[in-house]
Amino acid sequence: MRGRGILGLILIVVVVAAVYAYFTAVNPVTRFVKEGLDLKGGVHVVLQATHPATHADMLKAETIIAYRANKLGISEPSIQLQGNNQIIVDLAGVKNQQEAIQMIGQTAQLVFKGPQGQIILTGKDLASASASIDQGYGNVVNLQFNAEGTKLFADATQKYLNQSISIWLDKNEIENANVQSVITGGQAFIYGGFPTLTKAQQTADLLNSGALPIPMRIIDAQTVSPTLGQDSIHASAVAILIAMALIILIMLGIYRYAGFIADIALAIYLILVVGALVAFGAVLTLPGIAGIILSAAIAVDANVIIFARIRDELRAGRTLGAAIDHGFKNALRAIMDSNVSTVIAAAVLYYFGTGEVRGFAVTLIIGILASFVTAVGVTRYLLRLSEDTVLVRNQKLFLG
Amino acid sequence: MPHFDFIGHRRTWFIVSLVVLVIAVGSLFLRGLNLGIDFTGGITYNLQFQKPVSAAEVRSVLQGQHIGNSVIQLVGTESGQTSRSVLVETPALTEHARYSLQTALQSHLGKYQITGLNKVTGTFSSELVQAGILAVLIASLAIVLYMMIRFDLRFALTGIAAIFYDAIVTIGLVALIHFQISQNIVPAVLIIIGYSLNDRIIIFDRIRENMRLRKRGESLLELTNRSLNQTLARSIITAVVVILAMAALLIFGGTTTHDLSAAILIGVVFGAYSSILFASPLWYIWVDRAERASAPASRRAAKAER
Repeated sequence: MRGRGILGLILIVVVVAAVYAYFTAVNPVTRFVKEGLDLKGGVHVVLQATHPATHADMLKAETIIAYRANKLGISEPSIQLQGNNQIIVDLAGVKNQQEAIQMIGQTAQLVFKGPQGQIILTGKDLASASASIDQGYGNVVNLQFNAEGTKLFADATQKYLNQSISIWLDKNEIENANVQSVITGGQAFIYGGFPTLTKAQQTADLLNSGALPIPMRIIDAQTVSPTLGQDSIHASAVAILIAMALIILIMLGIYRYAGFIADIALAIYLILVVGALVAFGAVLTLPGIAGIILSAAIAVDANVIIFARIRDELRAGRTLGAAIDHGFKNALRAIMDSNVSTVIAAAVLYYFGTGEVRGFAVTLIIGILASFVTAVGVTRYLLRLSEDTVLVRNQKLFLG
Repeated sequence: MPHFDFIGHRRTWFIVSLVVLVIAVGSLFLRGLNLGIDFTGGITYNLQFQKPVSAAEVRSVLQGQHIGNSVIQLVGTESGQTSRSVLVETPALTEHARYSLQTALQSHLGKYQITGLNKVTGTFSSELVQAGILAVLIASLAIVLYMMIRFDLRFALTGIAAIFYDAIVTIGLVALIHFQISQNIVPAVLIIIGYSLNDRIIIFDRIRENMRLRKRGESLLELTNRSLNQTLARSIITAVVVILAMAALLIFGGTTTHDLSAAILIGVVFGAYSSILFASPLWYIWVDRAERASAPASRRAAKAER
């Protein structure tokens, strides 16, 4: 049994060395984790109205652009009005910059025209749009008109029965169809012009967001450094290292060998979190780091709770092995309740929140799961491994 | 195990909690929050320097003008350290302050041109704040439901009341101290709520456990006190670890994250305080009343006779 204990200790040393090497040599955070506008910078786009615009127009355009950016899955974009007729959009983590910029600036003018080119209805008469694959027509965008649109469409299909109606999107005719029956249900779909389902989905998103009230043109698009400032980020990174060192030292100081094991668990926690961020392709922002900090604090707390319980059991006269078992068992209920309620709350925040709140919720969920695995699982495993070593004879050294 | 009589002094602690709450809410309404450019908007300068500058150099000049928490972005580079072209967003400045800034930039960083000067709105709208608050309220509801299932209604309601207490007191004290806040206040409040939730559950868990194995003849007051004393070492150690870590972030961290670490620091202190001296006494009073009300009439009569 003593061999197992020594093996465990060797394992610990190897893990510590590996973590150190991994974070210094590979530097996974800057290399593999995608970072947001605040930490990494992005593209700074200036859009300008091509015609005189009122303040109300600009506000509406800002709202629509924010909606589109969200639909594109851009994490925490920053959108501001500049001067009288400009909108600044800062984007980060955009896979296809050109596409994002184009889509944000698009007008998405939908027009249904009669046989002589007379306008029947426009995007204003839409209630909603969605994309799907149709057996016969391929990728289609389904349209649901509002009350006004339904009436206009019913009247038009009656008036132009057996004639053709054309559908225009941003001044391109994408469909010209023969009216075969009167449509009173306020539904239609458009096909043609959507080579992929993604393209159809984008068009649906654009239609849902509404047309920009005024045409806008991109007058400037430049790469910019992080909004939090390169200097501040560097200082904060150093500060986080100092804070980590403090935590490691305090745990060592209070709990000695058990504290050392808690530190190992914390190191593995960090690797798991970084790994999960990379695996999910999550974009790291300051609120995201806040989520990691909170879950790290909860992970440390879990170990403090466990060690306090083990101390209680030792004081009650149990042997070390029994004390570890009972200590974990007693602590587990509190830790589980805390973790489960936090994950539930974070899931709700993710579902109902936007931008910053979501960024926080994602890393918090990842962090809590990782902290449960490490602060409970890894700590228990390593403590059980060391149970048989020479340390057992010296309880002060084992648990402080 | 220490033997502090936390619950015996509950009136004192309620007065303390109430005074703090009044100060916090009063500051929030009378003094208000010191909102930074994320909320208020400001002025953007497009600056074109003759020689490349770093964000740190520009910030040190701005700090001299007391606008150190402006947004400074190097243009034409994502991760490079210097650039000739810099985008700076400052709060709205008086003509005098603007002149002073422009001279300071030139004397420290050399010749430059202003290629663009624009008024911009904030990146953070009140709708975003409202959406965030709504999300938090719904999440609180979920927490209450979970605690009702795992604990009971009394734990759930006193727990959530104390969580809101922590969040409101923190925001109020931020208003009192009046340091400028950015949109970082959102993650800060979320951390405080999360920390507070964890702390409440850990301590309520011990009370729940002791209630199940309640010793014969142990009064509720003794039981609650015993639970708090049993968890006291853990409460102190965890609070101290987190407080020291946050203090390190505040002292060594960058200018643009000071508001974040300062708010969390305040929140963690109150989170630790309110679990022991606000949430638990509140729970005690409620349960104590219920126990008295449900005690058999005969015993009450016997007590009255004595």
